[in-house]
Amino acid sequence: MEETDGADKDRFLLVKAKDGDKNAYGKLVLIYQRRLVRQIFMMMGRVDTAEDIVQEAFVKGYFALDSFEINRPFYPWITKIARNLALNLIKKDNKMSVFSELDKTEIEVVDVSDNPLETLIDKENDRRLAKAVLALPIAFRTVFVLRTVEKMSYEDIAKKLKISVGTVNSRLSRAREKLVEMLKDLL
Amino acid sequence: MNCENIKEKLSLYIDNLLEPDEREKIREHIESCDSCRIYYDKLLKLGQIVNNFVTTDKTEYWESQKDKVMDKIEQAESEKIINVQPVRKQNRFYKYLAVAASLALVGFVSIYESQEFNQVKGLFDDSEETTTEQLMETDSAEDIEVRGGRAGETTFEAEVPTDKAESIDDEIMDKDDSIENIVDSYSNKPAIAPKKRTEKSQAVPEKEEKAKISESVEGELSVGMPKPVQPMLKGVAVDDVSIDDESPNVIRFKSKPPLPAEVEPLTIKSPQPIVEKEVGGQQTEILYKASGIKDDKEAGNLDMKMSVQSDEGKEYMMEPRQEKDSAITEVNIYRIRLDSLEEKYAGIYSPHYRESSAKGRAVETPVSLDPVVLEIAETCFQVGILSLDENEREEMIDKLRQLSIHGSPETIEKIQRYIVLLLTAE
Repeated sequence: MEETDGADKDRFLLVKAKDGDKNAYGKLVLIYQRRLVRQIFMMMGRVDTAEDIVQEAFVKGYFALDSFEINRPFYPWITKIARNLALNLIKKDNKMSVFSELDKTEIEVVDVSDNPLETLIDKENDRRLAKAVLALPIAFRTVFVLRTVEKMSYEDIAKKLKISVGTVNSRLSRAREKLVEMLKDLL
Repeated sequence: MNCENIKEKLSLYIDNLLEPDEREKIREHIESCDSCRIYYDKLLKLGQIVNNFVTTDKTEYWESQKDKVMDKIEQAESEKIINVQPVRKQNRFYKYLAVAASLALVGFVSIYESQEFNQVKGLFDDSEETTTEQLMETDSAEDIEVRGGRAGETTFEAEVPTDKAESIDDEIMDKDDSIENIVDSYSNKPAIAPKKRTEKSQAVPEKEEKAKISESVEGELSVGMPKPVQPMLKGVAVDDVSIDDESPNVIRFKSKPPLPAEVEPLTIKSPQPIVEKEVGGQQTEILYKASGIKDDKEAGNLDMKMSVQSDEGKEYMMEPRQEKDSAITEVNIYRIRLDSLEEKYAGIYSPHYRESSAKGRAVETPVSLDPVVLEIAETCFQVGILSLDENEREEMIDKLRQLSIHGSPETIEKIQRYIVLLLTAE
């Protein structure tokens, strides 16, 4: 029931937003940005980058509203935009490239001193998790987040990252193994 | 079962992706192996932690994030213009850009000149290389004067191409403005543009024979611009041809002029040579190439269109969709291309462009619009840079600014460079 109400509310807001009602669109942003920031943050590892990407996604979403089918759920659509932006950025940035560091499996020391996790994450345990995920090599992290946070299928991940399903499986397994190791006092 | 190899299987196990029989094997192993069971439990817990991971509850944080989104939307809407100023402020980038722009300009000039040079080079009997500068110096003439006409011969005047080209044969025509008209129409200048363009032609006979028709707009050589008219008259000996001082657009034939026979294929890449000359003994050919004009009728149509459209103010004189084959200059090719793109992606300049309306494209996200945006942007840039018309260049800059809304960051960057190049183009 709640789901239906949510969908109805979305549709109502979306119809208004399509007509150019920015307040309605703002409400949609408020509803979905938190979930979206979480996903993108886990993928990108930086609070500021995640914020930028999510903002950009909502801006792009607003200008692409005409192409949005009103009866379809909004969140997967806006997620797709944000995820594409994130993946583009990963591909662009050689340091972060999932393609250039395929063999790199060492745990990286990530400097989080300038990464204001506190602004985004309230709970200490969540910050620990975030830091651990951030410490994963990007190739592992991307697969891990796409699977556990975004709930993508192995096949979709493989397609998205242009790697084999077997590689997805092995990276995911290694990512989990490393996280269990890093977070052993929490688990 | 090996405990080392099981970790990968456990990952699949918690994702519920194993075949039933394999799943059963794993389950049995977990029950019997302590270390693997502990690991499995940790994996489950990790999954919980990830699922429970939440971002901050602080409303003000999310409100401020939302405000940033709305500000950006407002900005994009109100500007509709990519602000070029920040680009200029970035000193290094701007310097780099200035260098790039001048290099591009030099490139244009040298391409232009080398083509022109190649065309002109063939005119020298002694195949002595003469620089373009030299040619330009001698190129002050308003006339093509080809000496050595045989006395007593009937003088034919021909202007090519004209609406009456079919009557060239045996008829004396004297339409001073015909070539000029065509020049203007083919270069597609809007009618409001000053019509100061004249076609300067000169052919120096004998050993110093140098023939060159250069286009001049308000006294300036149009560097980097496509060549305008290339009307064709093939197979005319230089000796047979003269051009009046007073009406330089009229070529006089001292013998019977040939029909404007050959149809040049539509070429896109490089500007057509204006004058070609083959030197073989005494024989010299001046080619006025009106590429794209298939026959006299079409030439007539063009002429007609020209005058009709020149009344329409800023409208281009040639309607590309109807006259695809009549594109003469490079810029026209791009104009036509742009037209068809604009037709296909109607409304692309609107910030609310509906991607699904793009014909034949199953567009899912704005990202996939990017190649289209880039293509249109590139075409706009080409039109802008090649066009002789200030207004048209401005129009292209506007279009580029509007396009950039749909672009990916890389595309926007490119578009900004295009805009700056157009703004700095002379």
